[in-house]
Amino acid sequence: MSLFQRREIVVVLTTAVAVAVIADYWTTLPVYGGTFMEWAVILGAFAMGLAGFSTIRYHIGHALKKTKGLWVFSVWWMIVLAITVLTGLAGLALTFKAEDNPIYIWILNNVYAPLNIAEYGLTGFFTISASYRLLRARTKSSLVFMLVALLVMLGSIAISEAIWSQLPVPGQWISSVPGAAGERGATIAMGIGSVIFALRAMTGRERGYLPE
Amino acid sequence: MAEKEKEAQDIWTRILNIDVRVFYWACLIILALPLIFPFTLPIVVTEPTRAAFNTIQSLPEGSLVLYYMECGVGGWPELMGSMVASLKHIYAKRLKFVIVNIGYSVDHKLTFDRIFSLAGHPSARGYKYGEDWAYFGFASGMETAMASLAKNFRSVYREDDFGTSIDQLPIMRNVNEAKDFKLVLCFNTAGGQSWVRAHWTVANKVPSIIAVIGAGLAQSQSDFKAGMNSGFWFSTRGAAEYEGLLKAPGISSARMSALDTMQLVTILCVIAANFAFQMSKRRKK
Repeated sequence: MSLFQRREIVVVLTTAVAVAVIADYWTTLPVYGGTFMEWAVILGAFAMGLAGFSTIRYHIGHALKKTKGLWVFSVWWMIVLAITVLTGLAGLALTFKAEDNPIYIWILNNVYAPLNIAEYGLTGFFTISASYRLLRARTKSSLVFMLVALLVMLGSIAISEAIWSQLPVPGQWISSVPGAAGERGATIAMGIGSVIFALRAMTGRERGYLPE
Repeated sequence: MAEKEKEAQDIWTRILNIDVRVFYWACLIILALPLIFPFTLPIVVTEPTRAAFNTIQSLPEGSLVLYYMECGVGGWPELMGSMVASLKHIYAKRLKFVIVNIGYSVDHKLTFDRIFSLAGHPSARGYKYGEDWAYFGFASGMETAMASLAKNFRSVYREDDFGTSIDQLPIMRNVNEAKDFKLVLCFNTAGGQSWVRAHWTVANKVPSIIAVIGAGLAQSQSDFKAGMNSGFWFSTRGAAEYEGLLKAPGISSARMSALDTMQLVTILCVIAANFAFQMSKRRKK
């Protein structure tokens, strides 16, 4: 096995970098944790390129295999990608401006933005339809769930305040007291989980990220 | 009698299994009404919005604010109102600001243009680029980038979005870490608020105000109660409250009527569905 693929090397590197970043956060020692973070920012840019590459590979795979129900969308995705990249490059060649050339901006303003907002807006319709079909008092617990949902919704609209000034109070109390308490519990659990994950990674017990 | 009961049972079942297309058309028509005939209802200002207002209001003129957009076009319906209202407040208080975008590589420019088209361009408000405000555009790296910004701004951005070196911008003179900023405004659709909380507010004691979409309410409430943010704007509602405090009604106040109607329709739908469900259950018994 190559030296660079040895698990021990990866674990030692992970531990060294993690210790440096943690020490940098908690102490003023010159441990170069900040340098590793700068590297991570640069690696993040590479990761975006890698994500683009793997997405293209994914869609080419479906297009070539003619995966049922998917290949048409994969082909369409690649056509749209090609149009965006080519027009963007044409704009760059004509105006010497990278991402703010007029052709690219036109596509963003007139295709991307309206579609993105429309997609977001459609969730409102789905939410109403889903609420109608799913928020039903079938059991005692679903009754409680439904009442809480209704009270929270009443707590966030101005109409309820116009009807009676105290009408939104229960909903606002639910979101600010039990809701915040639940969220706090989840946040603390996530924090502890992150620490455990980091410890497992540093001691080589977490194997998900290691080379096979 | 039995036939009549069966017929009635059919009605309840039919109501419960109403075609989804009928639903969507009804929603579209109902939603269009407040847009055609807008109405305004008084909005009670909630504690987090008032706290956000007081925090910005208390900053002395010329204080430097980090205006952090972690939001793309998809976040406009819920966050654009607070982005515009807070910028109007920044203008009114003559605060300096630096815009960064971490998280949305494609559409940060659209968001930037849209905010200025609604709140007014800084130059029209007497702001000079480089001295009173600066725009640094997109940087990759997500949470790591946010943490690095707090430690060493120049490790993430060496030049602004227009290609000018950071050292040639007078606003960035002697500014390189979180402590050089008086406030962070975070317009958040995903993880931004927890990054600001961890690396700016908790670690460096820089106050922060967060604008959140509906799904982020619980976390913002929890952080606000724990003093980990100095206030927040809850979606369109929070922005409409803020516009009220600024006495400058804007897009959020206008949208509230449509939003209220939609929420009311949802509530009525749930009540109607449950009534039909109980009736159908009773008939079956």
